[in-house]
Amino acid sequence: MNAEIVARASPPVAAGDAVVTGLYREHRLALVRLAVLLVGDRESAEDIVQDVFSRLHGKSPDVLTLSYVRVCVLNASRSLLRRRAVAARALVRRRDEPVDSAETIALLGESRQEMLTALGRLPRRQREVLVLRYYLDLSDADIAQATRLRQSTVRSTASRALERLERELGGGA
Amino acid sequence: MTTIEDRLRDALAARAGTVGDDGRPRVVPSPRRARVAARWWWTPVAVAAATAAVVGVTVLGTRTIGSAPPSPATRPTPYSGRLSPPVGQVWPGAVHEIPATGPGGRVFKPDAFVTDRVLVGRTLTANRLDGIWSYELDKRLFTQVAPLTDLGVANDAVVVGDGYVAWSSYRDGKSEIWAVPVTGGVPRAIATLTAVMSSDNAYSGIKKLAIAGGMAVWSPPDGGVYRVPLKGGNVSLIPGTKGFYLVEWPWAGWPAHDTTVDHPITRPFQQLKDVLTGRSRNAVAQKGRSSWSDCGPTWCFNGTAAWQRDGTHRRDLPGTARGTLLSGRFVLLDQRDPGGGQSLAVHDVATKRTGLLFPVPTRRGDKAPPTLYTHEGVIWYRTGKGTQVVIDLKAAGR
Repeated sequence: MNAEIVARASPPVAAGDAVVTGLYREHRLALVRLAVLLVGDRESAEDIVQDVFSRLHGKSPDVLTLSYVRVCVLNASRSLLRRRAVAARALVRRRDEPVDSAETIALLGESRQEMLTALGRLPRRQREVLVLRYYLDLSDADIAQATRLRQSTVRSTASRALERLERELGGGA
Repeated sequence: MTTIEDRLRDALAARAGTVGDDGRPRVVPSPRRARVAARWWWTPVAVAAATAAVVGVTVLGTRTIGSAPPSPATRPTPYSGRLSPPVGQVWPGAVHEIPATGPGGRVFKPDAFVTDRVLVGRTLTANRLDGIWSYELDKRLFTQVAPLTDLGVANDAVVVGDGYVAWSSYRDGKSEIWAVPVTGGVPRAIATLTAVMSSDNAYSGIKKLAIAGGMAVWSPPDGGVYRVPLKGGNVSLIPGTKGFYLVEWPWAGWPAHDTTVDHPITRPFQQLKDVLTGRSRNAVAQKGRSSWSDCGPTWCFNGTAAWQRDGTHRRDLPGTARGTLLSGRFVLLDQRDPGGGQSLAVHDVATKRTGLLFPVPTRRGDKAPPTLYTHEGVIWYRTGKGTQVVIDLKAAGR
């Protein structure tokens, strides 16, 4: 291999790997939590985050930001949900929806569990917008960037999702 | 009172909080090799290589397997040339003009020759079958063989052999096979079988009834070669003939012509089996061709050529062939002359002799042609002048 190419190519790859390592150490848990809220179970969430980080190697350090990794997790969650939907259609009578452990249910309490079940029934886009807005406290502009929607669409989607939750859960508790 | 947003925020935080840090040290997952950017060209190259390999193997396989080199298919050109002489000139001993009606004004339909000089047929009164009669060419004499009172007689020709006349009829869901001595007598039902009905409840008749070795032999529409003694007895399926159809005793073949299926039978009677000895003869298509119109124990033909079953002795036909093989070696031909006239002819593929039957109208105002009836060993048509022309194919083939 040409020595000049090696000299030019090596530093950015090394720098990128260092950034990936830093992001992983700092944000892995938060990203797993985000994935749990999107896909519903911890095992799948862990797999998604591992998978995302395994694909980040070799990327330029310029793109390796937390928001970028969040979008990767978001996309990976969508892929998983799509695969689950295909599997559910193929096996009509079998539903592979993740079930929380008894311990988790006990920790959450009935009211929260009810809310999370209703959240799980929302369409994918509405669920994503609510999680990004009410868990990560992202601005509508950031949500729009992460989900590739217009801000107005983000607002209307969130509004419709909340209306539906309110309708299903009967307002305040 | 908490709003739905507060409840949502609380629930999300609580659910996320259930995912605790277990404190185990973790390492960053190792990179995926398949996603290395430098390999972007690998997929299209691999696809191209695989495609080339498949195409290459296919081309090699199709070009090397098979003995004959491929030759381009040629569209059969309509025969145009000299019309053949009339049948009466070609086979004077086999063509007879006989009365179209018998005693009592009965319409006589010739079915089969008993000898060169005697033929049998069915008679109709008021368009209904009423008897089986024989006709002696030398004495010009009709003689009744048997009356037919059963209206269930099928519209198939009677067959002769071993001094008997046999025919099939249909009654109450049963096929019956009848026989009577050709010298006359009382008809006897020698076999009664469950009739094979089509899906739309139509009676399909008996395929190819024949008399051989003191037996009546036939194939029902669902295949197999059956036999029963002419003097009565048990009906039996000849072993090893299941699915086969009688072609010409003792030969049975597969696949048979079938107009009830929605696709043409492209290689009729490709397999042929001697039902007595089990000997088989498979037909061979002509070079560059994969189908034919019909195939008998000796001869096969398509629209433009005839050849022997083993693929040899190919000969071009002096016209465009139609229909099925008659008596194992005759075909009907459409012949055109350069002046635009068209005629129907009968051609013996074994001797290459052709006799003209009658002209076919090609222009407005031309006279309509008569109906040509084809039975085993006999073809005939009415002249429209109170007579009918009967051609004894067996005699013509001698």
